[in-house]
Amino acid sequence: MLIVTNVSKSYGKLSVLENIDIEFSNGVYGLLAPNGAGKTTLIKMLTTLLFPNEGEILYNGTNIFHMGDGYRDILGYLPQEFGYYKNYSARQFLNYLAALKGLERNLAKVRINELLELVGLANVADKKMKKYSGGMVQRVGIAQAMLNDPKILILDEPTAGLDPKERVRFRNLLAELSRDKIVILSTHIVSDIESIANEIIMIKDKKVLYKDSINSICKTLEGMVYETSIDYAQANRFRNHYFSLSEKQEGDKMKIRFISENKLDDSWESVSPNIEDVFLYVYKDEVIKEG
Amino acid sequence: MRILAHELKKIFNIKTIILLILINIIMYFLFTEYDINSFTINRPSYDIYKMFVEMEEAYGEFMDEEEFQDFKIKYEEAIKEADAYIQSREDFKRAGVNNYEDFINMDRENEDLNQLYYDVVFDKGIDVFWQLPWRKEYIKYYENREELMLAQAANEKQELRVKEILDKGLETSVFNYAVFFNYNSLMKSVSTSILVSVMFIITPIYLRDNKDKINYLQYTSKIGRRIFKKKLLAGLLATFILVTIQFICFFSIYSTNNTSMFFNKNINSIYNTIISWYDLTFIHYITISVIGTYILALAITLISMLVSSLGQSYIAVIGIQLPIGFFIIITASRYLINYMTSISYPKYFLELAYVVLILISLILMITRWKKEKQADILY
Amino acid sequence: MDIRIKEFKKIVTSPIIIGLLVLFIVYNSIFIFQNSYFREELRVLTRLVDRFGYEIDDEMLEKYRLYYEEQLVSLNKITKEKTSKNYNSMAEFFADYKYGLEDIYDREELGLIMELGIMEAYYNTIEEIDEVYSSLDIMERAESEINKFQLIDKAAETVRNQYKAFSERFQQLVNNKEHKNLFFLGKVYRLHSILFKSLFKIIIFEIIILVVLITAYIVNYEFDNKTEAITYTTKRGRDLILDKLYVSIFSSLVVTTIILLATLALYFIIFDYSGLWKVPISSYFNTDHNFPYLSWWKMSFVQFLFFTIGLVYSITLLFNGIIFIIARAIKNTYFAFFVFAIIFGLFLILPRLAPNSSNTIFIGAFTPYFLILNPHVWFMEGGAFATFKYHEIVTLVIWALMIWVLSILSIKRFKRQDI
Repeated sequence: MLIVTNVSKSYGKLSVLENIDIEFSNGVYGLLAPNGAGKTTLIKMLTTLLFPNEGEILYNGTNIFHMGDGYRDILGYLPQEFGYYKNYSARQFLNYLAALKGLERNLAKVRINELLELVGLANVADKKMKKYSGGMVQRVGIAQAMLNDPKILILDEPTAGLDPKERVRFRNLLAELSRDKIVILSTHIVSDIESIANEIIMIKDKKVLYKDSINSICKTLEGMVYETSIDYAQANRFRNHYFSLSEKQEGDKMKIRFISENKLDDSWESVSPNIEDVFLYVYKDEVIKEG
Repeated sequence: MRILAHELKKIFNIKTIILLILINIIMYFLFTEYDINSFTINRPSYDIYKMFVEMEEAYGEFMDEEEFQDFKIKYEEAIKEADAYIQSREDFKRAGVNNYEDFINMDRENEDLNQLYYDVVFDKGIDVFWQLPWRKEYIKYYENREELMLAQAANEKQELRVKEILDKGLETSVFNYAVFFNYNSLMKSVSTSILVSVMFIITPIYLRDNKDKINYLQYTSKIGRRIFKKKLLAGLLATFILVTIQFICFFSIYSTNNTSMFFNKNINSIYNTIISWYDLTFIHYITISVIGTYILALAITLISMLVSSLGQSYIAVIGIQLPIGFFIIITASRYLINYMTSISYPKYFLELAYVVLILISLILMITRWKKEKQADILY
Repeated sequence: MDIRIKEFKKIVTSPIIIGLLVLFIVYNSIFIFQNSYFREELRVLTRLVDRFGYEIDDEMLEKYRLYYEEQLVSLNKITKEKTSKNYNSMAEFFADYKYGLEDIYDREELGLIMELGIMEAYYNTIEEIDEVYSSLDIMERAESEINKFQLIDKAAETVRNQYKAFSERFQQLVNNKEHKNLFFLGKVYRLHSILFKSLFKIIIFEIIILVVLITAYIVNYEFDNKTEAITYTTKRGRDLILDKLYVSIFSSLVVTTIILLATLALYFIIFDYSGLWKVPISSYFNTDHNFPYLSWWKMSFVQFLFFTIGLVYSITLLFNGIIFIIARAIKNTYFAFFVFAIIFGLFLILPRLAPNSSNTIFIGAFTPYFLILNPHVWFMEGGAFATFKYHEIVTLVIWALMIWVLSILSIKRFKRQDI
């Protein structure tokens, strides 16, 4: 169990996270929040790159910052901006990281081969990484995160740069792994976690807004999401009244999906809210600020 | 261990090695080559050297009174040789110069006589004419050695030391400034090349990984922030290896100067230009200059690593290292590597300077390590 | 234009560049102060020039001698009073007193003593000018230079030819009486070397360091910050590299100006050259080693200064171009810097590689690397390798062309390169 207790973090006078309380146990957690909400900060604290100003993070009862090697031994981390040595091959790079992770030499060899196979890079394992496509580099990143068979796997935007086929593959892989691990996925791509996340964590206004199953979170918008078709000319007026979630061309009309407290028109069709709807709705002030 | 090996490989990658070799070749030709070649060309240093090789074979370590008499005889013989040469030439006879005595008293304002002088000394480069003035000088030195030595003492402590040397008779050591000066000159260039090379390979150690965010992966792996210490160790090892290789190359080249017969000769000779606080022989001196260079390299390694771990970009780091390197190298080649243990500096100046240098760089680096253990990795 | 301002800001706000600038100016100031202990004495000459002008001819000499004798008389009055001695010259005077003057004479009197001592020194020097210059054999100098570097065959011939041409100029110089002008006594104060050899060399090296850092920084900025994918795909796109080049040139000029201004301003505040600006640079008094400084053209001190500054700017631009080409070719800014240093060293060694007999040995002298070693003999006779009438201009033009071509190639390559 990984428990975040009353954790706060600020940079100088700028407070980023306040009184964060989260409990993680085995399973897949989706960390959903726009950039700047404190997502990366939280992840960096979980990976010991940052130190909380207040509160503690405990793994099986012990403060992770006091555990030293022991914590990082069971940690696998794929950062958002993933740095690597251009002149190394994937195998050489994984070898280097295996040494850093304290893997015994022979075990490392075996493991590396397995992982290269798993992420589909076995053919190009000995080519210099500067020749890799973005997707290939990302796959190396995923492989290195799993080198030490971690109990806690933290992946920041892991599917960035992967094509849809690779993303499916990745999703299946994660689903398998998560049975005996804590997997924390930070992503914007809802489809990544929709099918595999046990719980979604949303951070808003420096605090945890939701930590619940997808179903439960979607229920918060139950009966508030509608779809209808309107003329393009009316689109603007419509948007001024109701919060638009998505818009699609359908023939000569626009199909709009939106939020309304009540059903105010028969042509409106009530639909089941999905997690993306909740995301857009919850963060709409920030969206409007940007827009 | 594996990690250490990995880090060392990163330091000694192929591009760095190629540039390192090029840098050293260039520095050799710009600075060192002259002192190596000129040793056998420069006059009168080379003549003095040859003279002393002769003396060493005949007199051994020191020149006692008996041997000094022999030296004076050799002087007379040299004069006879010069006489013979002069008398063998018609043009000298015509000019009314009949022996060496006449020769050195020639009126060089006179065009023709000046021509003759040039011809013998420069154009033909007759050895004995180079040696003679110095044989004469050195005879004077020997006869007045006590006064001459004492005259170099500027204060009481120095005087005491000089007296000590005189008591032990060290000043009659068969050692000369030509060899000593040449070695110091060379050491200055070599230590400069070494320090520049060290800065070159060490500076990227932390910066390389930090600016590409590879430290995210390193710090979150099992070894975590201890990689900092591993890199430190790797840097120190790399320096040690580099300096050793460079010294091996240097001393191989230096051996072509053939000065090994002077290795066991005390440097406090009246014929040398240093008076040392210690009774060092030439080989002792060489040893401490080598040790000194190692210590300097060590200090520069620590400082470069400090800058590397703090810097954000290569350009910024180069901009900081340039004045630091310049300052250290200039100070080192003037005071710390050149004429070490000379009495013109206070007695423990050298030891203190080195100790302070090492202490400061160690303390700075240790502080940096302590900070890094607890620092937020923000960028 | 906006883009260029933003690029420039990147440079101007870099603490390293600012820090180094400040450090350099401080260092230069220390250097000037360390060499300034004799500035009081310089005023004596300035006063003399006020009184007599700086051109030396019989009329001036007569007036000078008269004044000197008047002053000597005044001094003798004082010495008679204080020590009952009489002197015919300051040489005699100083023979008596090596130390302890302050105990006997008061400040005003010491002032007179110093003035007289200096006047006599200048007077003695004036006396020897004609002799020195009549015995100066330009071709002899050529031969000694040829011997010094052991040149033979074609190489030696070239040197002789250059010196032959120079002999004509030398005649002209003597006829113009350029050498017969009062100036700060070089043998004592060595100001020409201090300013043009040491100080300018230091300035040039400082400028090169800054130019290299600035240019490498700005040219590879996007790659170092991993923003290359966004910046080079904008509307401005790869033309951004041109903006960077222009901004680096502009910054180099700014930095050159700042260092030159700050350093030279301090220098001329400390060393008062008033009344001496128009003195020909070939004045005999400028000599601070064993051979006088002889310029190829008739130039006053201030003109020489201006041309020197102009050449410094030109050389700055050349180095700017060189590091631009290197930084573009070698992505890693760390290695780019050291490649620059290696090439620098290579060109310094270059002259040594050619055989002593062929003219190829002079190729090594027509490089900016060679030029910056001897600013004190720019536009002048400067030994076997630096006595060509158009040495500086030819070097500049050839290198400017080469760098121009290479830069264009480099930019073209960048436009077609994969990023």
